[in-house]
Amino acid sequence: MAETILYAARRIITMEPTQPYATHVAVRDGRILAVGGPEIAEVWGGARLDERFRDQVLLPGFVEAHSHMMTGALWTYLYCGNVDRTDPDGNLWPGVHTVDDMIDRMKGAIAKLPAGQPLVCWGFDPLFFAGDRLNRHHLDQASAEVPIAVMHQSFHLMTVNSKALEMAGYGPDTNAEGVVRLPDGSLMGELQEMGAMFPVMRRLNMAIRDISKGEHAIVQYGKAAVQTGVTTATDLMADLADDDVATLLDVTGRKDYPLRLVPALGVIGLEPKAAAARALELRAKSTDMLRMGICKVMTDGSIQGFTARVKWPGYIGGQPNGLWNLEPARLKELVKTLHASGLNMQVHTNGDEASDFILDCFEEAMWEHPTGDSRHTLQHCQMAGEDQFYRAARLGVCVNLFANHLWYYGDAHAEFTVGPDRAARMNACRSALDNGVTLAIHSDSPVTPLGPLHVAWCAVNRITPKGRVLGANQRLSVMEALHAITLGAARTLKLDREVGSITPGKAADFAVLGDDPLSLAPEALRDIPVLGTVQGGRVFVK
Amino acid sequence: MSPIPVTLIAGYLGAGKTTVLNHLLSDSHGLRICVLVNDFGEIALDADLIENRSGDTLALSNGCMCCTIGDDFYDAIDRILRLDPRPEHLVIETSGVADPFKVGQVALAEPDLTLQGVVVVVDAVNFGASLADAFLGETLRNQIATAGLVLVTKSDIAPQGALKQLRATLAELAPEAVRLVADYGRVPAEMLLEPLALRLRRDEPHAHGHHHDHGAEYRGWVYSGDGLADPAALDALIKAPIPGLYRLKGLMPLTDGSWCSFHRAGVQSDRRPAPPPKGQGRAVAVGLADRFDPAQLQSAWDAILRNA
Repeated sequence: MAETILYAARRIITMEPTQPYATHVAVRDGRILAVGGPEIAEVWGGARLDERFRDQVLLPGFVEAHSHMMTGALWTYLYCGNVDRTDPDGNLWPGVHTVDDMIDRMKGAIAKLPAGQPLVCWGFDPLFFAGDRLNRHHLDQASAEVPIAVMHQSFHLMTVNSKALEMAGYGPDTNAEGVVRLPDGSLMGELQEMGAMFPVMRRLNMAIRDISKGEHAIVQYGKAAVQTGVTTATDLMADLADDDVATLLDVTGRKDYPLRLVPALGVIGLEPKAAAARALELRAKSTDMLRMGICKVMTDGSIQGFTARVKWPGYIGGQPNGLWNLEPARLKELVKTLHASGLNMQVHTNGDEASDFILDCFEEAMWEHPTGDSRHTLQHCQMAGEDQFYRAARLGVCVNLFANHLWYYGDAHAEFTVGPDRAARMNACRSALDNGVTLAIHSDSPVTPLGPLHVAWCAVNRITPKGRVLGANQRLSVMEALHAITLGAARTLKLDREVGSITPGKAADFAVLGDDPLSLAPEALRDIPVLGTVQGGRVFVK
Repeated sequence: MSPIPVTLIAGYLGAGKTTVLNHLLSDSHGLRICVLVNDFGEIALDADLIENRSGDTLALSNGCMCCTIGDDFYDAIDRILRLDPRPEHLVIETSGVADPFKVGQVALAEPDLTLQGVVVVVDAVNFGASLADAFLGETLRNQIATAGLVLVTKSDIAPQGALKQLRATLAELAPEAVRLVADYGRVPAEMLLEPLALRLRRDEPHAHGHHHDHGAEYRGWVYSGDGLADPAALDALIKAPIPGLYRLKGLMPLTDGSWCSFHRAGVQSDRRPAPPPKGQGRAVAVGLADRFDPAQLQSAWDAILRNA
């Protein structure tokens, strides 16, 4: 018989109503055998006591139900963000706060670059960077010969040096919209949106989509998960071509791979019936560590990019309404076909018109094909009002709200996109719960950094960098927020039978925390150290 | 390598974009065209025209090819730019809810591409209802406003009143766009690819600036001479509203001594530096005969020239 290990912890927060707290958990065969006090394993014939977590707090392993594989592989590029971050290999990268800091870091990296290679940087967020807006003259100080591209945190913009502009053929006569100019009319080096970034990305061989595929990306994603307490994570829009799947099966099947991976098939480019057939085929190939079969549907764009479809009165600056990804009629056909095939859909809807429309689609699909517990999920769903949460609950539709946006873009939403009143009800976690909707909250990493405790902190505090509290009445309790990053998130992926809480029978997936979130001030939630994870009974703690 | 001209074909679902593309791919224009579509589903080509099908590409016996966009538009563009030999023209079918202005940015930004024109296909039977749809109206109005050429399909089965209303709507939404009836997708391939080629079929180019007719439908204009163009005035001219003008293209010396190439297709325009050619500066234009007045263009043109 396999060995039984009894872990003793300072506290175990289980997410189970019968027994919310415990001090001991017995693990056998990678699963939870028993939960309770020091004697809990006795009825099972005893266990080997392991006290390594004596001073730590165990939670169910975090479930990040909206993030992307690129999270780990992005560290292939040079980090130039303003916050201190640790890369998947455990190296600390202090935030850069001034142009001089950035230039120094770039010069160091350039010195180590193989000849002929460009320098690509990421993580830069102009919203959190003091001083003049970054331009090519700043970057030219790092190098006039090596092409440099700095991707902004939003991934919709980049700033490049003069050499990169020259390689892309940009000059005084360029008249593409996203090629930004300085007040004197000369090129600034900032490029907005893909159309303008594409010529540079081609010439610098920046294959951003390719870096999120392959062994290295999968391995690094696993490491990033361990550092943030995550034991189950999505890659919420994947091609999943046959060779990608073969690599995923190989890497996730290794004894030391620490993450249950849930890739969602991106279906927007596919014909509905072909999409459904492919998703079903993938579902049949799933393993314990690689769960395929869910589908990612896109509807609109982003609120801060003014491309989300919003209901009246629209954007406060009078910007035209956003863009659908696909004709509404085709979206509806896609949703109905996938639903009729018994597939689960995770649907990107940022604006409230998009979430409204998708609820219409779900309702029609459900009338035509009553399938019971389909558990489709509205992803982001940032602007939904009470009516939509009420309706989602009645349709059995879950929401995965983008709580991190409250911190990263909250001030911008209040000042520039939808105004203070609608910004206050963005990512309305309280409304979701009060209406009985299954709630998850997410980072959309790498759009905002991976880290469920930070996401929970946002949902609990709802504060912005400028000190606003966006919608005090929408705040969650710490316990509710922890539920949303564990059991709530597991439910949206239909994995709550196996993960999401600490109870006999479920996978032995734990987040190992250095302090107790329930005994600290709510403001301290994001600062709690994460020491690692236990995944399927395997310990990933340094 | 000269840049690949790009034509965008926009329009809502069912407007007839695919019919236009089917017609274009079967036409004997002799060009190696690459057509980029959302999916092959509706592309209906003669089986004997299809030479080879592999994954995301259909190769046709007339040298043309058809590719699907797949899940990333820019990847698709990148694949096409890596083709050897490169296609001579790229036609992109945008989604029914795309903003052609945004899609077209890549052709303005990428030196290996040049934006030839934006064509919007409008269905005379259903366009009115689509415009009234709250989810679509603004998007479709915006598409029309971006169009250089509006193709009206199903005019033969549309009620008279609807057709009249459509004409009024289009005139209001896109006063400068050229409008053509293109039932069953029938439109001269040149109008989609290079309207200036219309003249080559009908008569030879003439020297010096004067105008002449090409039959009832289209009217041309030609310039060649020693004048230098004032850059700011040239920029203004290629963007100026000139009724019925669809296409303007040229290679001119500027007052600062450098040369530039410029072009306009519908409401899209572009000017780039160019190496000095052999010979004089030159420019050509074509428009619809019922609205385009070459004499008006000629006087605007004269006003931007400075003596050498």
